Amino acid sequence: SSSCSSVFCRDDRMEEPVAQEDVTFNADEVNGIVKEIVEMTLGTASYAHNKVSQWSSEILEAIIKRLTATQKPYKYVVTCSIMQKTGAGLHTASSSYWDNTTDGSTVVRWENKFLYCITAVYGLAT
Amino acid sequence: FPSVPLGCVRERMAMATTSAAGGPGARVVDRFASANPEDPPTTPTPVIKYENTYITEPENGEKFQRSRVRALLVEVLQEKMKKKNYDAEKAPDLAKDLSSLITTRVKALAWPRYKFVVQVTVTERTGQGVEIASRCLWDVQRDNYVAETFQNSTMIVMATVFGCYYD
Repeated sequence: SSSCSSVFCRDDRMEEPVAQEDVTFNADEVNGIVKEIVEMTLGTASYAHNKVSQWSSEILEAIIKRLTATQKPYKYVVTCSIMQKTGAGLHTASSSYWDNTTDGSTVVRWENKFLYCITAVYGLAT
Repeated sequence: FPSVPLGCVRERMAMATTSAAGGPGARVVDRFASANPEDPPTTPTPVIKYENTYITEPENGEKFQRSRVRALLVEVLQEKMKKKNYDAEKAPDLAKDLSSLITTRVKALAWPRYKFVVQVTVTERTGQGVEIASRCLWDVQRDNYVAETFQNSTMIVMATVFGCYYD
């Protein structure tokens, strides 16, 4: 008669099948991650041609790291477009062939006085 | 009277009551029926379970072939962008049309178990600086991407196709 107070202790009456947690793309969580990282990297910076590739690398690497840390069974594609504000127009469209129930995408538009940053994250379930 | 274990009898009685509610001879035990009798009867949707194919890699000739997709992208961009000038009203539609057209053409290559993401960026050419970068977390041996740019005097179009193997 052992009394277990630990969570991992259970009797072997019936082996319950492991519950499959809902595998869906959580757009809100990803949005939050992306906004935080872009804000942190760009902040009030003005467009500098020599720094742009470094910024985009930083943003992308940080986003991928945070997405990996969420430990979800997903493959990710992250794209980042940084454009100088000169009055020109920029349009982005995307189309995908995937499983609507498990896969999803989110686009985060961020701007400051000097530049636009558009980040798209696509999550594909494996 | 045949001797029947007690548990069995209880089950039969439960089934009898629900079938009475459904009508004579109705054998469906509807566990998802709501308490309110006026609600329409709910049928539990069967969960489809697919058998394991035990295939872990794309077959020969069914891998994401960059050369074919690149040729496709170049062809589509050249064809659609001929003699077009940047028009702020039409640019969003152009981007959407291009991306859905490219998706349809890439799907037509008929590679099984591949998921595709196509992204098209259209921007006016006014001498501003633009940087478009991407990073992916995927399987390097099976997944790939192709990126192509098209420029004319008034606009720049950038199209990227990402292909991910789904096992």
